[in-house]
Amino acid sequence: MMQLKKIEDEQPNDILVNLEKGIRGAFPYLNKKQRVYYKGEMEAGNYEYYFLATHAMAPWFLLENKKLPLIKGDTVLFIYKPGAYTDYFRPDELRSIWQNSDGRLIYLLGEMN
Amino acid sequence: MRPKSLPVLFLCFHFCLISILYFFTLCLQVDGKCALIADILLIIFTAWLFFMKAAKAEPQNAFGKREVIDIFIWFILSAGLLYSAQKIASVNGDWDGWAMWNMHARFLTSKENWILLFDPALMSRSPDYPLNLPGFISAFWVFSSHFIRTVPYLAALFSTLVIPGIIYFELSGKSRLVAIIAFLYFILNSYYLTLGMAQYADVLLGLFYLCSLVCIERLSQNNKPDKVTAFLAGFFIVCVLWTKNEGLFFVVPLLLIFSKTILKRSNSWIWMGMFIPLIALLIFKLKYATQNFGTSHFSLQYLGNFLKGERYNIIGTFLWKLIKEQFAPLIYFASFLLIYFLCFRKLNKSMIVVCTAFVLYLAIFVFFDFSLDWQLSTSLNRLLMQLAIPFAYLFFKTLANALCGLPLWNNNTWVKKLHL
Repeated sequence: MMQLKKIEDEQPNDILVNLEKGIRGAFPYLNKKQRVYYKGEMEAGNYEYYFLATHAMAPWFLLENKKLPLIKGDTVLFIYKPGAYTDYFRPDELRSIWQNSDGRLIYLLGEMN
Repeated sequence: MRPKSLPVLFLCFHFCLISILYFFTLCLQVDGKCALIADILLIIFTAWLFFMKAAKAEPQNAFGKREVIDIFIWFILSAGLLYSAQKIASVNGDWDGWAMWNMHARFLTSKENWILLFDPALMSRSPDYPLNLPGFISAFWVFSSHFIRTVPYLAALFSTLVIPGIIYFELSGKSRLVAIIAFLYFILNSYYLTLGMAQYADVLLGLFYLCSLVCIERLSQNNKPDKVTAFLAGFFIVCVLWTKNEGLFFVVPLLLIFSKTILKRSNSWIWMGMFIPLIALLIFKLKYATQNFGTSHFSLQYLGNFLKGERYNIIGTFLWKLIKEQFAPLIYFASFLLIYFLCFRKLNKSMIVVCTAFVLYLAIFVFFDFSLDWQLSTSLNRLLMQLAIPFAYLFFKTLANALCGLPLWNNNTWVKKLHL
């Protein structure tokens, strides 16, 4: 039982739990079954944020890593390191709906202008 | 005679049954909690039947000291395996655990949104994979109304713990010493524990390969009809396909090689056992699942790949390196079985099934025109583990048969010495 408790409580360094906490605040701004497009950090050690975020958003929303360019009206989940915004978007390209930060990463839900 | 591991096989049966019932609740859009409740009621009913039968049993069939000793040793060994496995287990499992299997399970928790799992956006997450593992996890998540992370962990622990348990109980009747050695092999096999606790479905698939072989072997040796074993054999054979797609390469040779046993009139309950999981599998594959890699990339022009020596060379080199690094005991197992076969000319049908499945697995790498380096490095280790499980069982079984003639290895010698 002690071991099971360890499995259940072992959260502080768990990247999946941290990411879920990071993006959970965006959920009330989305409709059920809504398709959201992913943009931003892809690699973090052995983990990919896109895969982590898809897991965290299931089963309510569908996160897609869109191969075609994003277009006006697309809802975007953008995960990036502070200062890296312009590596992905022009300043006026994305309208912020919701934003959060855990100090290491910024989580932004936005809509393409 | 029924398998000695029958109670453990029943646990495996309920594992699959929960996932199948849960899948039906999704298809019928009814409350998912019904699946677990229905299964619990079935457990209570079968336990009642078991006790009624046990009460009527003849004294020689009653539960004796030997069975108590078996269970006591099994309990100690299981505790040892649990301790070793715990040290390796991670919270969310490895990559495919959380990125695929547990994510599938999360989608399945919503009877409104579960269809999203088959959206083209998730093509890279293999939505064509059968739902045995995710269905089981979802059933418990829905029942508890919470994504408890202990559930996938316990599902992984279940298969890791149950495999050596089945082998132990199957062999303990012949040679308890070999049965203990077999269990210790799994405890000391860190690669088995790592893959088992990774929350992937590969060790689970190995478990159902093992269950199918145990039941079908027992049926082929039985002279009297045995409905329970026949039912379980049929159920497990289809559950192989309900666990992972590559199970087809095991099921087809098994059906062909054991066709005489399967088609025997006295074993007609095999078809009854197949019925429920087959219905679930057909509904899933025909109505919901996306095309898998094999069907979407199949082309007869790839037959030419069988003539390319370079592909065999790459596969052979990779395979040998992998076996030496991660599956070294298999070299000794295979050598022993080869010598045993050459000396006694006894060809084991189950061994032919496992070897044919192995050749078919490798044939896929030769046939499809994908990058071999990537495919071999991502999947061959898991495929090998799936087959290493029944292979280890067949090795230890042959060993127990060979050694039970010697006094030290024979249970009866010890029984007399201990006055049991």
